[in-house]
Amino acid sequence: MNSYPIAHAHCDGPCGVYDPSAARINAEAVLSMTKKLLALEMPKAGDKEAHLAYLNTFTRFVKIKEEQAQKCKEELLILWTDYFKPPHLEKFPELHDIFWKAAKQCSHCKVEVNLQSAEKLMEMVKQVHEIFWKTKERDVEWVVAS
Amino acid sequence: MGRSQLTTYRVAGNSMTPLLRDGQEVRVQPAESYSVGDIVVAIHPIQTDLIIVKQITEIKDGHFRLRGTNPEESTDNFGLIKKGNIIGKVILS
Repeated sequence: MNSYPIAHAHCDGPCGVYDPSAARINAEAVLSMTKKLLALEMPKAGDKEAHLAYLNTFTRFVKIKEEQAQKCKEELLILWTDYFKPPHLEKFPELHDIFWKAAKQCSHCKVEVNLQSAEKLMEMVKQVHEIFWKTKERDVEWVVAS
Repeated sequence: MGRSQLTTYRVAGNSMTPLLRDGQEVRVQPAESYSVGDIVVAIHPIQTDLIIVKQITEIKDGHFRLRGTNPEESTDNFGLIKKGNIIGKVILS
């Protein structure tokens, strides 16, 4: 059989597996990087080596925070647009508002280094978690890795 | 348009039955314009590493709604997609 590229003719996704824990892991990483950034000590003036090390670490932390916030947004959008259907909206009329605000919160977390913003994102992802598992009529505990 | 623009894809899944079967090879060619009813291969708007094959069911403000032809396996709900996401039209299968 020739190995041509695959064109998927599945339903929502190729697997139909959705889980808000993916967004939770990303949001948790945003929170973790925010805490690390806030805890970074500024180097003393004139210490070039320490200054370079600080800038390098700071940049890496910001980069990871940025990436994880974007991934969190993408995971939320996949749930919002692929998993949730009109009957869910009838049962949870606040659904669109929750996702819209959560996606925006991901952007807030990119723009600033703010502990309250990162914690708020976690709370919003928790709201998504709760609605998601209610739609599946399953009682799944909210757990965090850190 | 030359034959060099033809690309072959293999269909995976059953959302396009009975028109296209799982495992079937299809030839795809880019087009200047697309119409409702065309079977197209496109880049999924959210999972951008995913190539999908679907039928155009609606064109609205230059954007396209895609759907499988098998209602039992088609619950696509990713909204309207841009023309830029469409790779080409299935012309031979």
